[in-house]
Amino acid sequence: MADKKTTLAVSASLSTAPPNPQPTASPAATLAPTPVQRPPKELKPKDSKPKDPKPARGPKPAKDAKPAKDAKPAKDAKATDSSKLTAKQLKEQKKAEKAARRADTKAATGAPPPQQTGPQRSEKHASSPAHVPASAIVGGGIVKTIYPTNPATVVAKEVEVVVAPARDNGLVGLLRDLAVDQQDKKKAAAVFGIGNAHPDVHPAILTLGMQINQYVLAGSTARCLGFLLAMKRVIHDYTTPPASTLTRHLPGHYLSHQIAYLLAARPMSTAMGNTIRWLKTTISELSPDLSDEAAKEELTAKIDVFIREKIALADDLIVNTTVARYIKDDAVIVTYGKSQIVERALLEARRRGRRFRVVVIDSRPLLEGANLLAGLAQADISCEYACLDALEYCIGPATTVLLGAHAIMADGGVYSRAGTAAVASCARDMGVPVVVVCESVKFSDKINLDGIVFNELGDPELLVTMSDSNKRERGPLSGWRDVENTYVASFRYDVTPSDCIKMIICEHGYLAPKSVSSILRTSAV
Amino acid sequence: MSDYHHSPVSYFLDTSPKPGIVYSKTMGEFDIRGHYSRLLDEDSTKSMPIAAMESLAALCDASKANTIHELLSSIEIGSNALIDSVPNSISLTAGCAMFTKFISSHTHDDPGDFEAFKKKLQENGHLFAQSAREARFKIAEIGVKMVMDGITIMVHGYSRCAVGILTLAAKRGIKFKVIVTETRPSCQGLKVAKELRDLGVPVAVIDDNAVAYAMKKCKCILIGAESIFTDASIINIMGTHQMALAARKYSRKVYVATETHKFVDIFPLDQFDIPIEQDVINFNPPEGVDGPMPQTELGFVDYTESELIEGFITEVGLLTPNQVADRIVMMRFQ
Repeated sequence: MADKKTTLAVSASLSTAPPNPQPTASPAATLAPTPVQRPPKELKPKDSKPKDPKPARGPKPAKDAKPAKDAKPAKDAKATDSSKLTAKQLKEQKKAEKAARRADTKAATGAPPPQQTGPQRSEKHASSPAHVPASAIVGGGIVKTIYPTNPATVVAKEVEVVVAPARDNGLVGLLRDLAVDQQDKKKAAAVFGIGNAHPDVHPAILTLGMQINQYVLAGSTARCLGFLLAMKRVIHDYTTPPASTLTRHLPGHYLSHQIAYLLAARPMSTAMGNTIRWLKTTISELSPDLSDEAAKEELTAKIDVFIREKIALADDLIVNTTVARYIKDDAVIVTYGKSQIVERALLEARRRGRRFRVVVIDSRPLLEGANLLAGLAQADISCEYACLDALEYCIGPATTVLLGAHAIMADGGVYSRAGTAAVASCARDMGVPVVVVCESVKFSDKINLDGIVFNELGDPELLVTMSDSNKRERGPLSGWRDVENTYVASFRYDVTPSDCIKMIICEHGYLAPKSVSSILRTSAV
Repeated sequence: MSDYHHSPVSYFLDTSPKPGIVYSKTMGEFDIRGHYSRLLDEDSTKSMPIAAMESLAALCDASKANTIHELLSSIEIGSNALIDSVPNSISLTAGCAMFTKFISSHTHDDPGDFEAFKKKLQENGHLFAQSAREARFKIAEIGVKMVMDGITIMVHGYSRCAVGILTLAAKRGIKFKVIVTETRPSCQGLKVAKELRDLGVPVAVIDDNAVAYAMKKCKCILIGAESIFTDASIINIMGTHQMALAARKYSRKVYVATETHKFVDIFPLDQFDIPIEQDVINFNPPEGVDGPMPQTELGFVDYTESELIEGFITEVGLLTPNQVADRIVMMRFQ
């Protein structure tokens, strides 16, 4: 019930915008105008027809919206779209995949997905079905949940649109850098989809890519583990082509096709990057005298050891350290979102008979915390649930803030789900120690100075849509696509500076955040 | 307390009828606690970790162990017995850990003749304790460079390392002044004041509650530490934390003079997470106590986070808090 209230509060803040999608009124919309007003030149290298994007973005979005209904046709899919995509810095792979799906649906029903409101924005839209919260996907049908709203209502609302004046471009500039950067990373693998995969991509990797792309495998550790398991199968099925050797061909061409495909599915996580680097080094260190069979066996064994040491045992150690020392009786633990390892630690502490209270802080759009809450409540842990806007109130009585991480930077900064920085800095200001639990495979040798570079853009549609359990409604922002110079940015991650963090617990024990570099120095992952 | 040393053999202790006495079949009976207290009583300049190391070295001498394993396990039993029998055991823990590490790093040296090996270990153990004792003189040599003519330094509590630096500076003829807090209730400050005045150093003794008032008149803070933790935070005699906070307010640098054998791999989260039981805040004081809670002879300590500390003066040189944290983490990989 407490959660209900706070959820409503969040929705309320979004819904302060008038029903008419005026960009000025809504916080999210003011975030960033689209790259639209940017000259497409610098972005268009891949453009076959540079003028293409222009007309499409013209100030008559209403028109665009209409044709979307009927013109859904798969023809807008690839050739034309991709040029716009680069220009608009959108996720190409989603579109392609969409196109394929679209073709399917069309063949079957003829009813186009509602999100395809306009050719030039359709790509953004297209990703939304893929971003249905992981829990929803895991729980129910994947593809079925894809088009939750009725196309007619959406379009009807958006007919009248006021063109907003050009606004500050600062954030747009950053956003564009981010999008271009993500585009660059995908380079060769232009579009994601099984149909577009290189013929060498192994079926296990094809499946994994799909799971990652659809957020069935969402967590950083889960993706890393999935990758290693898939690689075992890849290695098992691998045969060295004639006139080549395993130690050269496997880590080179062959592996890079697999990785390019996964990269197209979703930007690489630090853990996976570290794992791939380890794998390549390991393969190239194999003795060239080994027969293929022996080499493959050795490699598989090494992967098993890696999984055991860097993930399974590491998790056990972290959970043990955390529980033994930092979850005490009468503690009030605040956590944010859902982290696998935090959940494990809390459950283990309960199993050892500790009596403590947990406050789960959650945020839209994914509401992962609700999932954690269910697990904890089932284990008879007394819990509270609140949304991010009740943060200060919740952190006051806390004894510890316990957080998971997506990656930890070399300077001790924590890269984690968006909102973590807010929780950590609030806790620091209120004198509550922030403890981050994280396997050392997630330690990055990079440093992110801000939260935008290297961030991942989530689906803006999820922010716009008001979701109340299973019922999904179009929120007041739903028309933002048709408002010029408007962009809804849904960042997936943020960076928490190391001075907001008291301690990091990894499998090597507890560390001050600044000591991450010491661990990086000793353990060459 | 048991959370801090997960020892596979600590259950042996349950059979021990009296704390601080080690019983085992390889060793007979050895009163390590008694030995430790005697060392401290005999020489007041001896610090706890050194006394702990010397006690363990003595235990090795007394041990009738026949194998390396037996020797190591008697050291472990000994240090656990010692740790459990002393109320404030953090710095002692550091000494024991260091000694154990030293011994086990030498176990691969000479597996041939165990008796010769044991003898060598015992000698090395004593040498090791000896060199730890000498660290204080090196610290004085290094730290004295920071004491410049005309400087005023504030001191809290009686730290042998800090006083060592100031004494050496005075002997070198450097003209400096010292503001000393009285450090109630142990009044360690008076001891510092007497020693420095005897050397002709101008000393002003202030009340403990005048620290913030006097802060502007000093150039830097020089303190010791009882232990240094994994993130380079320290515990030291009560009052250090508020002095460091006041120093931060006036941008005065806080320097900690300490030997590296006080580094200990423990990571408390805040004041109340330090592994010491002390009865500071008591809403139901015992009969007859109207003022603050009475302190034991060790005195109350408090925790000062590393952000408030500028640097550490150690026998291996001047270290930043990050370097200290790095050294402590690296001890795990040695």
